[in-house]
Amino acid sequence: MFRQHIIKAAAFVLIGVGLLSLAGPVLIPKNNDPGSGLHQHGARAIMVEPENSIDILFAGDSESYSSMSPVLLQKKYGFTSYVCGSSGQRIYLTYELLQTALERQTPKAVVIETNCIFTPRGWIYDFWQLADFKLGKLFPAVEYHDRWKTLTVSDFYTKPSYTWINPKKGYRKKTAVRPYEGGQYMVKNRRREQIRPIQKFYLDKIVALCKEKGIPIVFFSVPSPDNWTYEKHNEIQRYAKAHGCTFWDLNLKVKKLKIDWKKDSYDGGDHLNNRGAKKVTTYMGKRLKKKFGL
Amino acid sequence: MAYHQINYFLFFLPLAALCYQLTPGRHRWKTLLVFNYIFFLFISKKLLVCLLVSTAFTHYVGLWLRYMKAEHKELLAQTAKEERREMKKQLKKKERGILLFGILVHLGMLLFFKYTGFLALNANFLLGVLGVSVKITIPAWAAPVGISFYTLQAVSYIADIYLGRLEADVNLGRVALYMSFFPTLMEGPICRYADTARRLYEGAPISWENLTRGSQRIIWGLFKKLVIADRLDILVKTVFKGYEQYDGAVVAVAALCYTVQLYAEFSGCMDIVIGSGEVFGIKLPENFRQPFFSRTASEFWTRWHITLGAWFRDYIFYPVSMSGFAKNLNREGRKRLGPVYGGIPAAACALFAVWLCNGIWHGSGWHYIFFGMYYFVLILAGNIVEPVAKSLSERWGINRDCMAYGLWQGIRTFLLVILGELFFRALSLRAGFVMAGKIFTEFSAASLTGGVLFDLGLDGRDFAAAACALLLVFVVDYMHERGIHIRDKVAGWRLPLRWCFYYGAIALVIVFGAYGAGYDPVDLIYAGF
Repeated sequence: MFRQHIIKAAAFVLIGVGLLSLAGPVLIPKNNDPGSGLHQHGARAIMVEPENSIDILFAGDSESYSSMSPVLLQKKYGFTSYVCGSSGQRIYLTYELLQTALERQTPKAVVIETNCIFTPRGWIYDFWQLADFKLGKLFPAVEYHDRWKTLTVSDFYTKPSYTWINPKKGYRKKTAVRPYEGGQYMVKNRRREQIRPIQKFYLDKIVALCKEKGIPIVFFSVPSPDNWTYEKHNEIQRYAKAHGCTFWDLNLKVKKLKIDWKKDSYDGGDHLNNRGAKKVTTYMGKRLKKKFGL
Repeated sequence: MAYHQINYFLFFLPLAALCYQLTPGRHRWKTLLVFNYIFFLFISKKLLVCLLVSTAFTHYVGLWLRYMKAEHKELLAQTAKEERREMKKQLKKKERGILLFGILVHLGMLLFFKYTGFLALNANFLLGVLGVSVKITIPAWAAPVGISFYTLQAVSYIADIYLGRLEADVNLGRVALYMSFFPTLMEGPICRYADTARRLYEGAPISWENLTRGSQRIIWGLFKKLVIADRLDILVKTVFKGYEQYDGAVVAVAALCYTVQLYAEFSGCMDIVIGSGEVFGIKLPENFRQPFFSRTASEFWTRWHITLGAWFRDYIFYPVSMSGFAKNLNREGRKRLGPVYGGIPAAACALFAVWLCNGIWHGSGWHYIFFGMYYFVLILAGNIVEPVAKSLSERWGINRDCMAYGLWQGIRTFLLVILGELFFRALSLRAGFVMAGKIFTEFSAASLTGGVLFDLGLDGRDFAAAACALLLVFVVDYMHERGIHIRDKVAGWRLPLRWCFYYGAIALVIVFGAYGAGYDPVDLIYAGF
């Protein structure tokens, strides 16, 4: 009886998994344009860029796409770039996006905005988030379940074909102004906010991936009083040194960059607006050009 | 972690069930207890100490009462017959003292964690009115998960021992299991020691039937929570947050949606909870019995959050009704108002106590207290009007048992419930009054047809999905009301058909659930109470 129940349960699960897998190709978006429903469509449009056409590849969460403008970089410094950034991007998604991007691109450097390495909650929450992420990747029907709203007959027989080219190359322009009214947030100390195990695991994987492809990594931190601290700075500094990577913390260069917190943020010190982004992009462009001879 | 999240039903629950099953029978309760505390740790971390203290204290007070009762029994046996009555009175007083001590400590903890902010806020207001410039700092600390539920369970345990309904348990493990069974931690149901503790401790093996039936109930609960409640939350949140910019019609729709959301959410969560209990072979008490088929507000509360209503009935309504004061009032009332209305003043006192506690229990805000008082007035008014309505309908030849009359009563009760829920969900009492006022003074049907509803975060497909799902829930509730149980029916089907049915149900949850990208996670509403 017990054996029979085990066989029955296994069969039920297996058939269910099979059905779920079959539903995936139907529900997955068939294009990558903004209305297609493809998650991280802005970042994923890197797949449509011509092969080996990107000099610098940026990655990270919203801090990256609200502060780096590839169009401005090309105009001012003449090199191409792309921002594989998305809202609330976790480091494992960064890894996945980089894996996809590096299949067709061989940039001179991968530049990672460091806010995605730290998460606001504990390791348990990180674990569940990762489990959710993995489940979505394993079963696209779960990740794209909401596509039932726009499903057409052709979704049942067509394969995904990404054609939409992101004109801003991943940058998202915000012009609103909401000042940051707090004071100095980078107070020098020796403490470190440790990178948690899951983040460390995927960060190591990113480093290994880039090493394998011979691409140097630059960590950079966009000025963000809401998110960044000296403890995080110390931790990334240590990690970068240990792994032979470069680290530029722009939170220590706020004066040099002439960031005006009354005008350069669109949400009170969390992200930069277009005005702030121009300053950061110009600074980064200069340093990247010099460092990698672009 | 919460019951409707993947981490619970795909990881935690299966792992707990597996470990439980693999543990030898007599040690299973220990495995269960460990998982209870792990679950608590996931949510409230170091506040686990509160639960541990509460458990140890409940156990201790129970034993204290037990020994005291045994001692008193002996004393009474040694006392001369003529002095026994006086002695009994004195000893009962001592026992009552212990009971009160136990209750006060538990209520003190509840008060500290849940109501300190509210009390400080009101104290500041009063000080301001009195012209005192001193301000109390309003504390903002998190309460341990489920404190409102396990406190009531602890109080019922102590009170039942005092009342002689229960023998205090010497086994601390059993008391700990009763206080912390993880499926009931966040939202109840509020269990009684006699119903669950021994079964939890027994460690019966998980049977195939329990596993499948429990899983079916969990899927049904997920359907209600994810497809209906979490989808409607988008609209509800938008309107209740920015109520000033919407007219009465939109507010009425939001109040209706909230009532549906709360039902789908709470009853859905209960399905998951009871299903989880079923997996372990624990029959937890039902908390809902088709509440929207109620004909009166009073009946509604015997079908909605049943275990809370029963708790208030047993530990507040009856003790107040049986108190000397109420008995005197009853006697006096019957003398002055006659047999029909004479009992109403005494009943009103007991009802007032119940509904005041009900309002306060739900949360720290004046709108919750108003919510309690709203039902107090409705139920009391029902009691007063009922004899008149009965005699009038007899005189006018109205058949109160006919379907049309029942339908009218049902619709009236449903509308009253919606109004009550509006105050319950409102951001404040003032906001509740403004919103209710809008329904009666700024109602414009044109705003419902002009497309405003589609600007509240839900599109036509969302409304269609929620409506179809709701229709399904209604059909199932109707069948339950008529004594038809779908799980039993489906169990009788042939395997291919049965499995198709199960896969269909799972597919409905996966595809039409409001979760993942594009949806904000919605916390369990009652877990916050």
